[in-house]
Amino acid sequence: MSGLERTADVVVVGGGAHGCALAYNLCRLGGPGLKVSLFERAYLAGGATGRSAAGVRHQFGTDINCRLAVWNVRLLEGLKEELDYPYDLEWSQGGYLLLADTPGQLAQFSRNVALQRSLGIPSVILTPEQTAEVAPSLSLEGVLGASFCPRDGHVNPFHLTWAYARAARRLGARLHPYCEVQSVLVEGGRVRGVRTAAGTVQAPVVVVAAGAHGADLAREVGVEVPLYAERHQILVTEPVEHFLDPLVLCFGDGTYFKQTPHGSLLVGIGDPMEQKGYGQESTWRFLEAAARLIVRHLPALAGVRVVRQWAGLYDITPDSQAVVGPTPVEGLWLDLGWSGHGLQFCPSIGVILSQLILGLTPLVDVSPFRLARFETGELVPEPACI
Amino acid sequence: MSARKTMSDRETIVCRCEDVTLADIRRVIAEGAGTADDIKRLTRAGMGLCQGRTCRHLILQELAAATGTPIEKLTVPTFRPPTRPVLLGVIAGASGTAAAGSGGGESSGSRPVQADTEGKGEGEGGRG
Repeated sequence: MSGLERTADVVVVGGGAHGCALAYNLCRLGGPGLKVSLFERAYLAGGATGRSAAGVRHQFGTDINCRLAVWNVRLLEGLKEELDYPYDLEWSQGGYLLLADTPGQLAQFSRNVALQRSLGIPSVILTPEQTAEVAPSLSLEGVLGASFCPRDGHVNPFHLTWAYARAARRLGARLHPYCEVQSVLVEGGRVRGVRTAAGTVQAPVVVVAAGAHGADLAREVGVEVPLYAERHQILVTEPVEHFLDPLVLCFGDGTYFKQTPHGSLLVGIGDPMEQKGYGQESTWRFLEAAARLIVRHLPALAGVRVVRQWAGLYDITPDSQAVVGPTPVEGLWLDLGWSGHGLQFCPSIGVILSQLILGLTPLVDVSPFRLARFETGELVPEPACI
Repeated sequence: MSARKTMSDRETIVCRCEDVTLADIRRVIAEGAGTADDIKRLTRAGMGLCQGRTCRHLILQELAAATGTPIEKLTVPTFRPPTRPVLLGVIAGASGTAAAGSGGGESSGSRPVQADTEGKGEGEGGRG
Protein backbone atom coordinates (compact mmCIF):
# COMPACT_ATOMS: atom_id res chain seq x y z
CA MET A 1 0.00 0.00 0.00
CA SER A 2 1.27 3.43 -0.89
CA GLY A 3 1.05 6.31 1.58
CA LEU A 4 -2.12 8.13 2.43
CA GLU A 5 -3.27 10.75 -0.08
CA ARG A 6 -2.94 14.30 1.29
CA THR A 7 -6.09 15.69 -0.29
CA ALA A 8 -9.47 14.61 -1.60
CA ASP A 9 -12.54 16.35 -2.97
CA VAL A 10 -14.88 14.26 -0.84
CA VAL A 11 -14.07 12.10 2.18
CA VAL A 12 -16.59 9.42 3.13
CA VAL A 13 -16.47 8.21 6.74
CA GLY A 14 -17.73 4.64 7.03
CA GLY A 15 -17.24 1.60 4.79
CA GLY A 16 -20.67 0.05 5.13
CA ALA A 17 -23.24 -0.30 2.40
CA HIS A 18 -24.08 3.41 2.51
CA GLY A 19 -20.49 4.65 2.45
CA CYS A 20 -19.49 2.34 -0.40
CA ALA A 21 -22.64 3.10 -2.43
CA LEU A 22 -21.95 6.79 -1.93
CA ALA A 23 -18.29 6.49 -3.00
CA TYR A 24 -19.35 4.67 -6.16
CA ASN A 25 -22.08 7.14 -7.08
CA LEU A 26 -19.89 10.17 -6.36
CA CYS A 27 -17.28 8.79 -8.78
CA ARG A 28 -19.90 7.87 -11.36
CA LEU A 29 -21.69 11.22 -11.29
CA GLY A 30 -18.68 13.41 -10.52
CA GLY A 31 -16.50 12.02 -13.30
CA PRO A 32 -12.84 11.01 -13.26
CA GLY A 33 -11.74 14.42 -11.93
CA LEU A 34 -13.46 13.91 -8.59
CA LYS A 35 -11.16 12.51 -5.91
CA VAL A 36 -13.09 10.39 -3.43
CA SER A 37 -11.55 8.79 -0.33
CA LEU A 38 -13.34 6.43 2.04
CA PHE A 39 -12.28 5.36 5.53
CA GLU A 40 -13.52 2.38 7.51
CA ARG A 41 -12.28 1.49 10.96
CA ALA A 42 -12.60 -2.30 10.43
CA TYR A 43 -13.21 -4.39 7.31
CA LEU A 44 -15.75 -3.24 4.72
CA ALA A 45 -19.26 -4.01 6.00
CA GLY A 46 -17.74 -4.60 9.44
CA GLY A 47 -20.25 -2.39 11.26
CA ALA A 48 -24.04 -2.43 11.27
CA THR A 49 -24.18 -3.35 7.56
CA GLY A 50 -22.66 -6.80 7.92
CA ARG A 51 -24.62 -7.54 11.07
CA SER A 52 -28.02 -6.79 9.56
CA ALA A 53 -30.55 -9.26 8.18
CA ALA A 54 -30.42 -7.19 4.99
CA GLY A 55 -34.10 -7.15 4.15
CA VAL A 56 -35.31 -4.85 1.38
CA ARG A 57 -38.92 -3.78 1.40
CA HIS A 58 -41.45 -1.35 -0.01
CA GLN A 59 -43.73 -1.75 2.96
CA PHE A 60 -43.18 1.41 4.93
CA GLY A 61 -45.69 3.77 6.45
CA THR A 62 -44.28 7.14 5.41
CA ASP A 63 -44.37 8.76 2.00
CA ILE A 64 -40.63 9.37 1.82
CA ASN A 65 -39.62 5.82 2.74
CA CYS A 66 -42.05 4.38 0.19
CA ARG A 67 -40.76 6.67 -2.56
CA LEU A 68 -37.16 5.78 -1.76
CA ALA A 69 -38.05 2.07 -1.52
CA VAL A 70 -39.29 2.10 -5.11
CA TRP A 71 -35.84 3.28 -6.17
CA ASN A 72 -34.03 0.88 -3.85
CA VAL A 73 -35.68 -2.12 -5.47
CA ARG A 74 -35.47 -0.74 -9.00
CA LEU A 75 -31.74 -0.14 -8.60
CA LEU A 76 -31.12 -3.48 -6.87
CA GLU A 77 -32.81 -5.39 -9.65
CA GLY A 78 -30.12 -4.25 -12.08
CA LEU A 79 -27.26 -3.77 -9.66
CA LYS A 80 -25.13 -6.83 -10.43
CA GLU A 81 -24.99 -5.69 -14.06
CA GLU A 82 -24.57 -2.01 -13.27
CA LEU A 83 -21.63 -2.70 -10.97
CA ASP A 84 -20.28 -5.56 -13.13
CA TYR A 85 -19.92 -7.70 -10.00
CA PRO A 86 -18.70 -11.26 -10.65
CA TYR A 87 -20.33 -12.88 -7.60
CA ASP A 88 -23.91 -13.38 -6.54
CA LEU A 89 -25.50 -10.53 -4.56
CA GLU A 90 -28.01 -13.14 -3.33
CA TRP A 91 -30.81 -10.75 -4.14
CA SER A 92 -33.91 -12.89 -3.46
CA GLN A 93 -37.27 -11.38 -4.29
CA GLY A 94 -39.59 -13.64 -2.29
CA GLY A 95 -41.56 -10.81 -0.77
CA TYR A 96 -41.91 -9.49 2.76
CA LEU A 97 -44.65 -10.78 5.00
CA LEU A 98 -45.69 -8.56 7.91
CA LEU A 99 -47.83 -10.43 10.44
CA ALA A 100 -50.42 -8.67 12.61
CA ASP A 101 -51.86 -10.20 15.75
CA THR A 102 -53.94 -7.27 16.99
CA PRO A 103 -56.69 -5.28 15.24
CA GLY A 104 -54.62 -2.14 15.79
CA GLN A 105 -51.65 -3.57 13.87
CA LEU A 106 -53.89 -4.71 11.05
CA ALA A 107 -55.49 -1.26 10.83
CA GLN A 108 -52.03 0.30 10.64
CA PHE A 109 -51.04 -2.18 7.91
CA SER A 110 -54.17 -1.20 5.95
CA ARG A 111 -53.25 2.48 6.15
CA ASN A 112 -49.68 1.66 5.08
CA VAL A 113 -50.88 -0.47 2.15
CA ALA A 114 -53.21 2.32 0.98
CA LEU A 115 -50.25 4.72 0.96
CA GLN A 116 -48.00 2.16 -0.78
CA ARG A 117 -50.58 1.42 -3.47
CA SER A 118 -51.09 5.15 -4.11
CA LEU A 119 -47.38 5.22 -5.01
CA GLY A 120 -47.62 2.22 -7.36
CA ILE A 121 -46.34 -0.39 -4.89
CA PRO A 122 -48.13 -3.76 -5.36
CA SER A 123 -48.65 -4.58 -1.67
CA VAL A 124 -51.81 -6.27 -0.37
CA ILE A 125 -53.54 -7.22 2.87
CA LEU A 126 -53.82 -11.00 3.28
CA THR A 127 -56.24 -13.08 5.34
CA PRO A 128 -54.68 -15.84 7.48
CA GLU A 129 -55.66 -18.34 4.75
CA GLN A 130 -53.89 -16.31 2.06
CA THR A 131 -50.92 -15.91 4.40
CA ALA A 132 -50.65 -19.69 4.64
CA GLU A 133 -50.33 -19.85 0.85
CA VAL A 134 -47.37 -17.47 0.89
CA ALA A 135 -45.61 -19.28 3.75
CA PRO A 136 -47.07 -22.76 4.28
CA SER A 137 -44.63 -23.71 7.02
CA LEU A 138 -45.62 -20.80 9.24
CA SER A 139 -47.68 -21.32 12.37
CA LEU A 140 -50.53 -18.81 12.14
CA GLU A 141 -51.73 -19.15 15.68
CA GLY A 142 -52.98 -15.75 16.79
CA VAL A 143 -52.34 -14.14 13.39
CA LEU A 144 -55.23 -11.90 12.30
CA GLY A 145 -53.83 -11.00 8.92
CA ALA A 146 -50.77 -9.85 7.08
CA SER A 147 -49.40 -7.28 4.72
CA PHE A 148 -47.45 -8.65 1.74
CA CYS A 149 -45.50 -7.24 -1.17
CA PRO A 150 -44.13 -9.80 -3.64
CA ARG A 151 -41.45 -7.44 -4.92
CA ASP A 152 -39.74 -7.07 -1.55
CA GLY A 153 -36.81 -9.31 -0.77
CA HIS A 154 -33.41 -9.61 0.83
CA VAL A 155 -29.77 -9.48 -0.15
CA ASN A 156 -26.32 -10.52 1.10
CA PRO A 157 -24.97 -7.44 2.89
CA PHE A 158 -21.30 -8.33 2.40
CA HIS A 159 -21.58 -8.86 -1.34
CA LEU A 160 -23.73 -5.76 -1.70
CA THR A 161 -21.05 -3.67 0.01
CA TRP A 162 -18.19 -5.31 -1.87
CA ALA A 163 -19.98 -4.83 -5.18
CA TYR A 164 -20.18 -1.09 -4.59
CA ALA A 165 -16.64 -1.00 -3.19
CA ARG A 166 -15.14 -2.78 -6.21
CA ALA A 167 -16.97 -0.52 -8.63
CA ALA A 168 -15.91 2.56 -6.67
CA ARG A 169 -12.26 1.46 -6.76
CA ARG A 170 -12.52 0.81 -10.49
CA LEU A 171 -13.70 4.42 -10.94
CA GLY A 172 -10.76 5.73 -8.94
CA ALA A 173 -12.06 5.98 -5.37
CA ARG A 174 -9.48 5.28 -2.66
CA LEU A 175 -10.85 2.97 0.00
CA HIS A 176 -9.03 2.57 3.32
CA PRO A 177 -10.30 -0.28 5.48
CA TYR A 178 -8.80 -0.61 8.96
CA CYS A 179 -8.18 3.12 9.08
CA GLU A 180 -10.34 4.94 11.57
CA VAL A 181 -11.34 8.58 11.23
CA GLN A 182 -10.51 10.09 14.62
CA SER A 183 -11.99 13.51 14.03
CA VAL A 184 -13.45 15.83 11.45
CA LEU A 185 -11.37 18.96 11.00
CA VAL A 186 -13.32 22.23 11.05
CA GLU A 187 -12.01 25.77 10.77
CA GLY A 188 -14.12 28.92 10.70
CA GLY A 189 -17.35 26.97 10.34
CA ARG A 190 -16.04 25.05 7.32
CA VAL A 191 -14.88 21.46 6.94
CA ARG A 192 -11.16 21.17 6.22
CA GLY A 193 -10.75 17.40 6.17
CA VAL A 194 -10.32 14.49 8.54
CA ARG A 195 -7.68 13.21 10.89
CA THR A 196 -7.27 9.45 10.54
CA ALA A 197 -5.19 6.82 12.23
CA ALA A 198 -2.79 7.06 9.29
CA GLY A 199 -2.61 10.85 8.96
CA THR A 200 -4.57 13.88 7.87
CA VAL A 201 -6.47 14.27 4.59
CA GLN A 202 -7.56 17.73 3.50
CA ALA A 203 -11.01 17.87 1.91
CA PRO A 204 -13.72 20.52 1.48
CA VAL A 205 -16.51 17.94 1.82
CA VAL A 206 -16.84 15.19 4.44
CA VAL A 207 -19.80 12.81 4.57
CA VAL A 208 -20.31 10.88 7.78
CA ALA A 209 -22.01 7.53 7.16
CA ALA A 210 -20.80 5.77 10.28
CA GLY A 211 -23.97 5.04 12.24
CA ALA A 212 -23.99 5.84 15.94
CA HIS A 213 -20.24 6.45 15.95
CA GLY A 214 -20.82 9.04 13.24
CA ALA A 215 -23.02 11.04 15.60
CA ASP A 216 -20.08 11.20 18.02
CA LEU A 217 -17.82 12.59 15.28
CA ALA A 218 -20.44 15.20 14.43
CA ARG A 219 -20.98 16.14 18.07
CA GLU A 220 -17.27 16.88 18.47
CA VAL A 221 -17.58 19.63 15.86
CA GLY A 222 -20.74 21.06 17.39
CA VAL A 223 -23.34 19.22 15.30
CA GLU A 224 -25.77 17.52 17.66
CA VAL A 225 -27.67 14.54 16.23
CA PRO A 226 -30.26 13.19 18.69
CA LEU A 227 -29.70 9.46 18.38
CA TYR A 228 -28.59 6.58 20.54
CA ALA A 229 -27.00 3.20 19.87
CA GLU A 230 -28.85 0.04 20.76
CA ARG A 231 -27.64 -3.53 20.44
CA HIS A 232 -29.68 -5.92 18.30
CA GLN A 233 -28.90 -9.61 17.93
CA ILE A 234 -29.35 -12.25 15.25
CA LEU A 235 -28.72 -15.98 15.09
CA VAL A 236 -28.06 -18.15 12.08
CA THR A 237 -28.83 -21.84 11.63
CA GLU A 238 -27.25 -24.61 9.64
CA PRO A 239 -28.51 -24.77 6.03
CA VAL A 240 -31.69 -26.68 5.27
CA GLU A 241 -33.58 -27.23 2.02
CA HIS A 242 -35.33 -24.16 0.71
CA PHE A 243 -38.80 -23.86 2.24
CA LEU A 244 -39.36 -20.16 3.02
CA ASP A 245 -39.71 -17.51 0.32
CA PRO A 246 -40.61 -14.29 2.13
CA LEU A 247 -38.80 -12.45 4.85
CA VAL A 248 -41.25 -12.50 7.78
CA LEU A 249 -41.73 -9.68 10.32
CA CYS A 250 -43.99 -10.40 13.28
CA PHE A 251 -45.22 -7.13 14.70
CA GLY A 252 -46.66 -8.80 17.77
CA ASP A 253 -43.48 -10.17 19.33
CA GLY A 254 -40.86 -8.43 17.20
CA THR A 255 -39.47 -11.61 15.60
CA TYR A 256 -38.14 -11.47 12.05
CA PHE A 257 -36.57 -14.18 9.95
CA LYS A 258 -35.46 -15.08 6.45
CA GLN A 259 -33.97 -18.06 4.67
CA THR A 260 -30.87 -17.21 2.68
CA PRO A 261 -30.19 -18.72 -0.75
CA HIS A 262 -27.50 -20.74 1.02
CA GLY A 263 -30.26 -22.42 3.05
CA SER A 264 -29.49 -21.06 6.50
CA LEU A 265 -32.09 -19.11 8.45
CA LEU A 266 -31.41 -15.76 10.07
CA VAL A 267 -33.55 -14.98 13.11
CA GLY A 268 -33.66 -11.65 14.93
CA ILE A 269 -35.92 -10.09 17.52
CA GLY A 270 -36.77 -6.52 18.44
CA ASP A 271 -36.26 -6.67 22.19
CA PRO A 272 -37.39 -3.56 24.09
CA MET A 273 -35.06 -4.54 26.93
CA GLU A 274 -31.95 -4.59 24.74
CA GLN A 275 -28.88 -2.83 25.96
CA LYS A 276 -28.22 0.76 24.90
CA GLY A 277 -24.71 1.85 24.03
CA TYR A 278 -21.87 0.42 22.00
CA GLY A 279 -21.56 -3.08 23.47
CA GLN A 280 -21.83 -5.83 20.86
CA GLU A 281 -21.53 -8.91 23.06
CA SER A 282 -23.78 -11.88 22.40
CA THR A 283 -26.17 -12.90 25.16
CA TRP A 284 -27.75 -16.14 26.30
CA ARG A 285 -30.95 -14.17 26.95
CA PHE A 286 -31.26 -13.45 23.22
CA LEU A 287 -30.45 -17.01 22.15
CA GLU A 288 -33.10 -18.41 24.43
CA ALA A 289 -35.74 -15.85 23.49
CA ALA A 290 -35.08 -16.15 19.77
CA ALA A 291 -35.12 -19.96 19.88
CA ARG A 292 -38.41 -19.95 21.77
CA LEU A 293 -40.04 -17.47 19.38
CA ILE A 294 -38.80 -19.01 16.13
CA VAL A 295 -39.90 -22.49 17.16
CA ARG A 296 -43.34 -21.03 17.84
CA HIS A 297 -43.51 -19.40 14.37
CA LEU A 298 -41.75 -22.19 12.46
CA PRO A 299 -42.21 -25.38 14.52
CA ALA A 300 -40.08 -27.39 12.10
CA LEU A 301 -37.01 -25.44 13.16
CA ALA A 302 -36.94 -27.25 16.51
CA GLY A 303 -34.85 -29.89 14.74
CA VAL A 304 -32.41 -27.45 13.15
CA ARG A 305 -29.20 -26.33 14.78
CA VAL A 306 -28.07 -22.81 15.50
CA VAL A 307 -24.42 -22.33 14.52
CA ARG A 308 -23.73 -18.74 15.48
CA GLN A 309 -25.20 -15.63 17.02
CA TRP A 310 -23.93 -12.08 16.75
CA ALA A 311 -24.85 -8.49 17.54
CA GLY A 312 -24.86 -5.14 15.78
CA LEU A 313 -25.95 -1.60 16.52
CA TYR A 314 -29.04 0.33 15.54
CA ASP A 315 -28.64 4.13 15.51
CA ILE A 316 -32.06 5.27 16.67
CA THR A 317 -33.51 8.77 16.26
CA PRO A 318 -36.64 10.21 17.93
CA ASP A 319 -38.82 9.46 14.87
CA SER A 320 -36.95 6.30 13.76
CA GLN A 321 -35.96 8.10 10.58
CA ALA A 322 -32.60 8.89 9.05
CA VAL A 323 -30.67 12.12 8.99
CA VAL A 324 -29.56 12.79 5.42
CA GLY A 325 -28.23 16.10 4.18
CA PRO A 326 -26.02 19.07 5.02
CA THR A 327 -25.31 20.45 8.50
CA PRO A 328 -24.63 23.93 9.89
CA VAL A 329 -20.91 23.19 9.36
CA GLU A 330 -20.28 24.00 5.71
CA GLY A 331 -19.11 20.93 3.80
CA LEU A 332 -20.15 18.46 6.51
CA TRP A 333 -22.90 16.07 5.40
CA LEU A 334 -24.63 13.29 7.31
CA ASP A 335 -26.11 9.93 6.29
CA LEU A 336 -26.95 8.13 9.53
CA GLY A 337 -29.65 7.55 12.14
CA TRP A 338 -31.39 4.89 10.05
CA SER A 339 -32.83 3.29 13.18
CA GLY A 340 -32.46 -0.30 12.02
CA HIS A 341 -33.79 -0.21 8.46
CA GLY A 342 -30.87 1.52 6.78
CA LEU A 343 -29.00 -1.00 4.68
CA GLN A 344 -31.79 -1.35 2.11
CA PHE A 345 -31.70 2.41 1.42
CA CYS A 346 -28.12 2.45 0.20
CA PRO A 347 -29.03 2.16 -3.51
CA SER A 348 -31.27 5.24 -3.55
CA ILE A 349 -29.44 7.33 -0.97
CA GLY A 350 -26.08 6.63 -2.63
CA VAL A 351 -27.42 8.27 -5.78
CA ILE A 352 -29.41 11.04 -4.08
CA LEU A 353 -26.72 12.19 -1.67
CA SER A 354 -24.18 12.25 -4.52
CA GLN A 355 -26.58 14.36 -6.55
CA LEU A 356 -27.08 16.80 -3.67
CA ILE A 357 -23.34 17.10 -2.98
CA LEU A 358 -22.62 17.67 -6.68
CA GLY A 359 -25.42 20.24 -7.03
CA LEU A 360 -27.61 18.02 -9.22
CA THR A 361 -31.37 17.48 -8.96
CA PRO A 362 -32.06 14.50 -6.67
CA LEU A 363 -34.15 11.49 -7.67
CA VAL A 364 -36.33 12.04 -4.60
CA ASP A 365 -36.65 15.04 -2.29
CA VAL A 366 -35.13 13.90 1.00
CA SER A 367 -35.59 17.19 2.83
CA PRO A 368 -37.91 15.48 5.38
CA PHE A 369 -34.68 13.81 6.62
CA ARG A 370 -33.03 17.17 7.37
CA LEU A 371 -31.26 17.53 10.69
CA ALA A 372 -33.14 20.72 11.57
CA ARG A 373 -36.42 18.83 11.95
CA PHE A 374 -35.50 17.92 15.50
CA GLU A 375 -35.40 21.60 16.39
CA THR A 376 -38.50 22.64 14.47
CA GLY A 377 -40.50 19.61 15.58
CA GLU A 378 -41.28 18.47 12.03
CA LEU A 379 -40.77 14.79 12.76
CA VAL A 380 -41.80 12.09 10.27
CA PRO A 381 -42.44 9.06 12.51
CA GLU A 382 -42.10 5.73 10.69
CA PRO A 383 -44.75 3.35 12.07
CA ALA A 384 -43.60 0.28 10.14
CA CYS A 385 -40.45 -0.76 11.92
CA ILE A 386 -39.45 -3.15 14.66
CA MET B 1 -0.87 -31.71 4.37
CA SER B 2 1.38 -33.57 1.97
CA ALA B 3 -1.60 -33.86 -0.36
CA ARG B 4 -1.28 -30.15 -1.11
CA LYS B 5 1.76 -30.86 -3.22
CA THR B 6 -0.07 -33.19 -5.56
CA MET B 7 -3.60 -31.83 -5.64
CA SER B 8 -4.53 -28.76 -7.64
CA ASP B 9 -5.85 -25.65 -5.88
CA ARG B 10 -9.28 -26.39 -7.27
CA GLU B 11 -9.34 -29.83 -5.69
CA THR B 12 -7.99 -28.77 -2.33
CA ILE B 13 -10.85 -28.11 0.08
CA VAL B 14 -9.85 -25.57 2.72
CA CYS B 15 -13.27 -25.15 4.38
CA ARG B 16 -14.94 -28.55 4.60
CA CYS B 17 -18.25 -27.26 5.93
CA GLU B 18 -18.84 -24.88 3.02
CA ASP B 19 -16.80 -26.59 0.28
CA VAL B 20 -14.44 -23.68 -0.26
CA THR B 21 -11.31 -24.54 -2.22
CA LEU B 22 -7.79 -23.19 -2.05
CA ALA B 23 -8.39 -21.68 -5.49
CA ASP B 24 -11.40 -19.77 -4.11
CA ILE B 25 -9.31 -18.42 -1.25
CA ARG B 26 -6.43 -17.40 -3.50
CA ARG B 27 -8.76 -15.73 -5.98
CA VAL B 28 -10.39 -13.41 -3.44
CA ILE B 29 -7.00 -12.56 -1.93
CA ALA B 30 -5.83 -11.58 -5.41
CA GLU B 31 -8.98 -9.47 -5.78
CA GLY B 32 -8.21 -7.45 -2.67
CA ALA B 33 -9.51 -9.42 0.32
CA GLY B 34 -6.86 -8.42 2.83
CA THR B 35 -8.05 -10.09 6.04
CA ALA B 36 -9.55 -13.37 7.20
CA ASP B 37 -12.78 -11.43 7.83
CA ASP B 38 -12.93 -10.38 4.18
CA ILE B 39 -12.22 -13.90 2.95
CA LYS B 40 -14.87 -15.37 5.22
CA ARG B 41 -17.55 -13.00 4.02
CA LEU B 42 -16.75 -13.32 0.35
CA THR B 43 -16.39 -17.11 0.23
CA ARG B 44 -18.28 -18.39 3.31
CA ALA B 45 -15.08 -20.13 4.50
CA GLY B 46 -15.51 -20.46 8.27
CA MET B 47 -19.25 -19.75 8.28
CA GLY B 48 -20.32 -23.39 8.45
CA LEU B 49 -21.08 -25.85 11.20
CA CYS B 50 -17.57 -25.92 12.67
CA GLN B 51 -17.27 -22.10 12.53
CA GLY B 52 -13.74 -22.14 11.21
CA ARG B 53 -12.16 -24.63 13.57
CA THR B 54 -10.66 -26.48 10.66
CA CYS B 55 -9.98 -23.79 8.10
CA ARG B 56 -9.10 -20.74 10.17
CA HIS B 57 -5.45 -21.54 10.46
CA LEU B 58 -5.12 -22.64 6.83
CA ILE B 59 -6.61 -19.34 5.69
CA LEU B 60 -4.30 -17.34 7.92
CA GLN B 61 -1.37 -19.27 6.42
CA GLU B 62 -2.49 -18.32 2.93
CA LEU B 63 -2.91 -14.68 3.93
CA ALA B 64 0.48 -14.60 5.60
CA ALA B 65 2.10 -16.03 2.47
CA ALA B 66 0.26 -13.62 0.18
CA THR B 67 0.83 -10.46 2.20
CA GLY B 68 4.19 -11.19 3.80
CA THR B 69 2.66 -10.44 7.22
CA PRO B 70 3.61 -12.79 10.07
CA ILE B 71 0.65 -14.97 10.98
CA GLU B 72 0.53 -13.75 14.58
CA LYS B 73 -0.03 -10.20 13.36
CA LEU B 74 -3.09 -11.06 11.29
CA THR B 75 -6.59 -10.23 12.54
CA VAL B 76 -8.64 -13.30 13.45
CA PRO B 77 -12.43 -13.22 12.98
CA THR B 78 -14.51 -12.91 16.15
CA PHE B 79 -15.44 -16.05 18.04
CA ARG B 80 -19.15 -16.13 18.84
CA PRO B 81 -21.45 -18.51 20.70
CA PRO B 82 -22.63 -21.19 20.67
CA THR B 83 -19.37 -23.09 20.88
CA ARG B 84 -20.97 -26.03 19.13
CA PRO B 85 -24.15 -26.23 17.05
CA VAL B 86 -27.24 -26.78 19.20
CA LEU B 87 -30.78 -27.68 18.19
CA LEU B 88 -33.13 -24.71 18.46
CA GLY B 89 -35.70 -27.01 20.04
CA VAL B 90 -33.31 -27.80 22.86
CA ILE B 91 -32.65 -24.16 23.59
CA ALA B 92 -36.33 -23.35 23.37
CA GLY B 93 -36.94 -26.01 25.97
CA ALA B 94 -39.30 -27.87 23.66
CA SER B 95 -40.18 -31.31 24.91
CA GLY B 96 -40.29 -34.54 22.98
CA THR B 97 -39.13 -35.30 19.49
CA ALA B 98 -36.40 -32.84 18.70
CA ALA B 99 -34.87 -32.46 22.11
CA ALA B 100 -32.67 -35.52 22.05
CA GLY B 101 -29.54 -33.62 22.91
CA SER B 102 -27.35 -30.86 21.72
CA GLY B 103 -25.88 -31.38 18.31
CA GLY B 104 -27.92 -34.48 17.61
CA GLY B 105 -28.18 -34.67 13.86
CA GLU B 106 -31.16 -36.99 13.67
CA SER B 107 -34.29 -35.45 12.32
CA SER B 108 -37.30 -37.50 13.22
CA GLY B 109 -40.65 -37.73 11.55
CA SER B 110 -42.17 -35.62 8.83
CA ARG B 111 -40.78 -32.16 9.39
CA PRO B 112 -40.60 -30.24 6.13
CA VAL B 113 -37.09 -29.06 6.88
CA GLN B 114 -34.31 -31.59 7.01
CA ALA B 115 -30.81 -30.80 8.02
CA ASP B 116 -28.80 -31.57 4.90
CA THR B 117 -25.44 -31.46 6.52
CA GLU B 118 -24.88 -35.17 7.06
CA GLY B 119 -23.56 -34.40 10.48
CA LYS B 120 -20.51 -32.62 9.14
CA GLY B 121 -18.65 -30.79 11.80
CA GLU B 122 -19.95 -32.99 14.56
CA GLY B 123 -17.44 -33.35 17.32
CA GLU B 124 -14.63 -32.08 15.21
CA GLY B 125 -12.05 -30.17 17.09
CA GLY B 126 -9.33 -30.30 14.48
CA ARG B 127 -6.82 -27.53 14.51
CA GLY B 128 -5.87 -27.67 10.86
